[in-house]
Amino acid sequence: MASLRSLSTATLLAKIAATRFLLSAARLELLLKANFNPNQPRVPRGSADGGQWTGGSGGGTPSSRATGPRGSSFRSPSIGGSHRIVDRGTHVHLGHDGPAIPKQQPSSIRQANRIGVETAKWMARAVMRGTPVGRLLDVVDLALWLRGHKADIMAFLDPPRSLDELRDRVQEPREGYEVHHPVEQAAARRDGFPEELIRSYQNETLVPRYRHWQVTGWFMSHNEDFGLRSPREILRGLSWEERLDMGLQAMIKMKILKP
Amino acid sequence: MNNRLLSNLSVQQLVADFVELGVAQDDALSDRDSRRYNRLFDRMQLLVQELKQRPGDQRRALMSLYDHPNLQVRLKAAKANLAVAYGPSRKVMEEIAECHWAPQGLEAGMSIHHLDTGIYKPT
Repeated sequence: MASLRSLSTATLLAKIAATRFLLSAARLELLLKANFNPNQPRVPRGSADGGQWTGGSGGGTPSSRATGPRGSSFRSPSIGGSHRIVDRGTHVHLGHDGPAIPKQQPSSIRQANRIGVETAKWMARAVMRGTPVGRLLDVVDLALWLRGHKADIMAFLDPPRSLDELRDRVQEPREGYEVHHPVEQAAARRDGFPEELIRSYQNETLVPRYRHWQVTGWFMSHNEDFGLRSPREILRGLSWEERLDMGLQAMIKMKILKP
Repeated sequence: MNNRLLSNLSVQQLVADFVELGVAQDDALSDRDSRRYNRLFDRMQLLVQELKQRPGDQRRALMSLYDHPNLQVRLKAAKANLAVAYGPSRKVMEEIAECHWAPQGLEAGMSIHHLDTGIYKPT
């Protein structure tokens, strides 16, 4: 084959044109396979959904395709209103009542965890309203650092389980879950309960991490119910049974444990 | 909100400060900062006490917050009024208890349980 240097300018230009033609043809073939319809109406430029298909067939589900230079939306027919996921460049917005997730990983672990929890809470609300979980997980692909929290988020969506199930699962550690002691360990040790009881099968459960955090937070927080003291404070000096009862009640109210 | 004397504030100002404290509490819960939450809780209780001792017990002024967009504000307003308006306040708490994804759902659910078992007797 002759080297490029040996070709005349005219021949070279002809080869470039031919290559461009072949590339265009290949592109068209791909589009035709994807049911592209050049006559399909699009949202005019300048609107928030500019560039997106507005209806008709072709290209999969038109309203679920993310296109457009700004405000790209993942909008499935099954997700509407408050459960819309909108990519706004530097952030991904979850509906009108969800967090704005930065695409850049937060600098602090605390902030990253907070966003993970808020995302999980938003998803839980969406699932309660009938949105399939799979569509909601699109957000993890838009803010890639969130993948590190995916297991925690998915665990948050678990339905309540029986006490035996939660106890048995301690033997099968898994991502997104933590061992939770219905009778708080440190407080029980301080009050002289034996280690064999504190670490017993009766007192160890495997629960979703984010829900575990919320239960622990409740035990540490001052509360009108107990004369403005925290549950942890008022349990001091009480029996194992009273502590266990409160611990299990909290797990029921947090929808970790079946009533 | 600064450290003004609560007794110098009008009822409207106290309600506004209550909202500010509720939103800040919610923020502290989201940050899992129990110390900050507890400080804010204690300040809110002083405010509620101030409303209580006003002529006619002005805690009912907080009932205007029963449809506030922030769950923490709604919950705390409801708990503050259990002694003076039990029915409507409990209803607000029962609605919040359905929000099991939120720490407020947990607190509302536990407080209702404590009301029903006599552990919690609002005054």
